[in-house]
Amino acid sequence: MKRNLYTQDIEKIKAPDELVEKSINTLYGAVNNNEVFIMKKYKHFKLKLTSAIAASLVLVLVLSIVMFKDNGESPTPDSNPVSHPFILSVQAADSLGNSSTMDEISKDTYVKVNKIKNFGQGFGTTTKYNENGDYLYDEIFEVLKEFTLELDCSGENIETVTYTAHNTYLSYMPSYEGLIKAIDLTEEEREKYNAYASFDGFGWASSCTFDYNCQPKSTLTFELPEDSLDGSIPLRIAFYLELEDGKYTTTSRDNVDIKRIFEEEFNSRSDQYALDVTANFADGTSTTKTLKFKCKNDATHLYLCAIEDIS
Amino acid sequence: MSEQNTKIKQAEQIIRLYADMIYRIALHNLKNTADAEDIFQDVCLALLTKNAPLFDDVHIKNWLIRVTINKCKNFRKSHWQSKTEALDLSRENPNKTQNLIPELVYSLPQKYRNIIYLYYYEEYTIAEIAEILGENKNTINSKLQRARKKLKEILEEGDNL
Repeated sequence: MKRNLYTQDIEKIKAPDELVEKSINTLYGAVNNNEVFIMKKYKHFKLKLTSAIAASLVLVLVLSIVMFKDNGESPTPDSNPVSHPFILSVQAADSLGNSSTMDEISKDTYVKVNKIKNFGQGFGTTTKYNENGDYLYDEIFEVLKEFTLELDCSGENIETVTYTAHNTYLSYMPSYEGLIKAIDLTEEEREKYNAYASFDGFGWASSCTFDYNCQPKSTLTFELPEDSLDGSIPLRIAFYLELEDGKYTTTSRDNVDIKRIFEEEFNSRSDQYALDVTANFADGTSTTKTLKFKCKNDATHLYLCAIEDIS
Repeated sequence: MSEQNTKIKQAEQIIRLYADMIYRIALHNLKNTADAEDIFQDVCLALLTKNAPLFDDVHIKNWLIRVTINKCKNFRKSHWQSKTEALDLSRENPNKTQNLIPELVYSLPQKYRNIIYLYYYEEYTIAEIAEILGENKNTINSKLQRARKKLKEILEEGDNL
């Protein structure tokens, strides 16, 4: 160590003994509880089709074939269909967290695409002081929210399903066995979206592809854990919003109404966000539906709602 | 002893040996003790989860430095982080950092602070610092020169270069 005023000051800095002991104890505790070495295993849920649901799906499938856009080629009796239809559904929870139906994403009505218990949220603040160094207030400069995506594609001969986010990003569970491929964010995208928070092992991607039989959805029988952190659904969409300077301030970080702020800001700029859901068929073709979003805040929960973009 | 227990014992030894270094680097980057303690715990856990060279005495120290700096970098940009800034340095809340690290050092950009610490306190060469931080040697040298000008009064005494 070179001797000077700086190093003399640094020499005095010691890691607190309690911190060291606590960290070591945490390691032993984590290993003893198998938290460090054992990967959590996730079940694959299969949607149980009752005869009524199956009949409904067939009816909707038939209607969807009629309603889908023509890609310019007229089908002839001797040619294969140019585009393959698929149904995009979601298991949306009601205000009590109960869900008993799969709702098809509509072109006319926003449908909730996440359960009431979202995953991650956060906000950043800048603290302001006066001339004497006294605390004045905190200015909120950014908010971020992650929503679980529980979408389901149904159709004939679909091999994989690809989700692609526009002007935002997905977070995905790398260990999920149904994940075929994830296209990770570039460094520029990470900077742009401030996509640095990952304390739970999720990765960040612009696009994720899943096996058709292992889509990132829950089932009718899925039970939410009491602590509301439902990490077993392996795909989320995250929205990072930079806020106007001085627009939101607080004198108590514990009482910030993140739901309200996020809802207002997100809905004012929601046009820039979109999610492509692409069904990739066995014959090499694919069909894409694009979803647009808005947020709905009922003062208790913040929901992400989607509508099919027909523009 | 099982392989798992061997690793934990080794990790414990490493933590005890380098605890002060990890903590100091975190303080240099984050400027407050609460955040530095969070990073400290993250780095300790990373010893068992991130393929650390636990049994390589030569490289484990460099690994710890890189991981700590990277975690601090990510932490600062995290949406979970509550960033604290004074209106300007002269009016910074004196209670925030308890004056652990000289204010002049805090006035430097984050990368300069790491270079100053690694050069003057850990006594790494410029080449070694360049390798640890993944930067060009000339870049490190330039930054060190600029930092020295600004920190002249606290780096001069006993400076043998």
